[in-house]
Amino acid sequence: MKSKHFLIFSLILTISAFGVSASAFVSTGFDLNNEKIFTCKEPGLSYYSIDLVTTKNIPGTGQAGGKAVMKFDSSPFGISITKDGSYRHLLDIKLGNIKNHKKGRFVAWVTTPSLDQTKLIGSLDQEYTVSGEVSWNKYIVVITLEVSTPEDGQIWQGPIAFRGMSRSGLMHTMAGHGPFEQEPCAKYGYY
Amino acid sequence: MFKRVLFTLFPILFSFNSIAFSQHEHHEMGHSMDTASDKAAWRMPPMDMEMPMLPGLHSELPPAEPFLAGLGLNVSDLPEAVPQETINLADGDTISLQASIIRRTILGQDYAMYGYNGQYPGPLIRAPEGATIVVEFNNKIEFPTTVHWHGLRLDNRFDGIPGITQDAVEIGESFTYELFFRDAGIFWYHPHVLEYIQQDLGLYGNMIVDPKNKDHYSPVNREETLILDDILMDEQGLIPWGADNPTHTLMGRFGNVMLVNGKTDYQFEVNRNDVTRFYITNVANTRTFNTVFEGAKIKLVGSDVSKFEREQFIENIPIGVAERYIVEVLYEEPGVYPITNSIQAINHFRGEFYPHKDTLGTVHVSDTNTEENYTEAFHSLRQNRDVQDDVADFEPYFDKPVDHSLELTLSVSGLPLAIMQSMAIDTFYVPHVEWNDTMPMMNWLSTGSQVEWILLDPATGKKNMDINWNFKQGDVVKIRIFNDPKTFHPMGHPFHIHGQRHLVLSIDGVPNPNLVWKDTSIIPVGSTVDLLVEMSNPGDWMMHCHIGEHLDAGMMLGFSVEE
Repeated sequence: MKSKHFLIFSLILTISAFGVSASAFVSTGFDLNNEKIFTCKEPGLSYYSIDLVTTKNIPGTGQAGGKAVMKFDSSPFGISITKDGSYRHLLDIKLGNIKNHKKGRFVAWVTTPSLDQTKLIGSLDQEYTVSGEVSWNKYIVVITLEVSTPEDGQIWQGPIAFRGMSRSGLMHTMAGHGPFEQEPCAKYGYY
Repeated sequence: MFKRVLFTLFPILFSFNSIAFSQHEHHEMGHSMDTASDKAAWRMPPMDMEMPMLPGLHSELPPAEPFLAGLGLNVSDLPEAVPQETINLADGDTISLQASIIRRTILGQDYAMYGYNGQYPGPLIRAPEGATIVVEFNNKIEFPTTVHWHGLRLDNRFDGIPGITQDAVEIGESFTYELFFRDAGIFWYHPHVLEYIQQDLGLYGNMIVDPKNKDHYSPVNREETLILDDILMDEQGLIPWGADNPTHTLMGRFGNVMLVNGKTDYQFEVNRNDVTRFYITNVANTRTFNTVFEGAKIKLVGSDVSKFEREQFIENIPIGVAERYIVEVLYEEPGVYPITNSIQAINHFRGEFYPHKDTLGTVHVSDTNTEENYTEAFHSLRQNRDVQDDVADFEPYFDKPVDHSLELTLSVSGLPLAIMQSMAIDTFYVPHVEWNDTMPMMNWLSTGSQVEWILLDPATGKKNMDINWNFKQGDVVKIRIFNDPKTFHPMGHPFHIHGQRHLVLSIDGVPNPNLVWKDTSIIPVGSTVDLLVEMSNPGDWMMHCHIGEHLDAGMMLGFSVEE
């Protein structure tokens, strides 16, 4: 029950965070308190990179932040696509500006927007970096603080420290909005 | 992208036996396809009725003259097209190739379309590596045309580029091509004039170049060419093309009916444990396919201009426009298996991805076991030393500085106000590759007179055909291409380099783990792709996006290789 609360909380915070963090996607780097946390060498990578925003739930992370940079996983076809047509990305995750962190370890996960599937990316190293593969087109990156090293198939137990949504998460229904304001949402299954 | 979010229209992806031909109220631009008439009329493309129409577009038509083939002719009088035939050739042989108007039957209706030698696809030309053959070409279609021999490193005079290597072949006129088959593999031929019409109407065919080395490939029971295509139609027939400039210029013209070897119901029969070598070519105007042989094991063998360095097992084959892949496929159990295009389509109105499969064809696997069992060879993954040794000669150039850069972008003017406004506030998400037409109405309304697709050389500020790079034969050139995601309408582009071969070294700094020589490579949105081009073939050549509508909207440049 506790973890479900965290899941819902994370989703709400993630979506609300995007209202203020979306502009960061157009920058070529990420500055937080003058600390360069991640710079995208290739100009296009910043477009798809994911800002990891602190929940301020963990001591020492109130001013921290991070990036998850999406690249195509290596493939003989250039673009890397799964059998069902999803993009296969390599996520390079890096956090920065973490102060006096002593207890537990940060662990990276990805989960679908509906939170029905979760995948372990891995524990962050001492440089607060980790890399892993994700084969979903729309997903949330979640960094939690765990007391032990989780295994594949597990869901997180600790509190959420950072979260961010893939750029594709900016797509949402237009029913009832903008030029389609007069379109009744219920007609399209939105209530 | 907000343009797409605003996009009224759901993707038009349907299996060949469930095609939706609907139109919104007030959009019954239902001029019948009167083939006896000598004038075509616009009909808006079919769309999903669930989606509302973007306000302001209800009465818009593309600012172009509509074109349908064979208008004024009685379709029933046209010669009936026949399936592709194979022409086996030896060094020095000569063949005749004629482009003409033919009668094709698609989903039970007859249409005037184009074909080479009255066939769909054009004849399969098969010749040995190192051979030279002569093709006496004659033009009997309604436009001037040429034939481009895609992927061949042949004599520049025969590359088929109007205004660069030859004058277009006028209606009723002829041109003699001399083809040199330097590389073994799978290649294809198509017009290089108004490709978005002529190729879409059926002017395409394959060439297989058989290797000198008998052990070039693993042994197989069968070989088959698969030409993937799509075509846009509604209940009344083919949706007209723009005669003087293309419609669908933003995304290219997606079809809603899938074709394999020109058929909507492609069937293939094998025995259990047969190994089949498929030569796959994507000849669609714009669609990238994610091809899956359901129920089979697939081994990746080769691509455009060579085998891969290493064979590897794969689950699916993403193939961009004009690319080719060679795969070996094993069916171990009897049954009926679909070949599918399996994608995550986008519904921008709902703001979601959704899984979608088109059935491209069907493979029937009999109970009878294979006559000659090659499964052991199939399960052995080859290290292709010949390719590895060839590539090794170029490794000293892998880390060389970039010689030339290109940025992929576009400019627009004069699009309908509703499109401009919706695009202007578009700051959302663009996918790496457009797998479906997420905006059929807006796409249809965008023409080559309003959209200019651009290859920009940031070093000089020059664009498209104002660029003319000069090289010397033997140069090894690194070209860095950046597909800008923040333009008016970003889109993945299949980038084709004429007359030479190239390696895709890396995408966004991630090295390519298994190199293969290419002539066409996908440049995804937001990516930076490093190509290493061997300038081995002298002459005046082109590089361009192979989406027919983008090419006609300017996305090409020239380069020269001096002897």
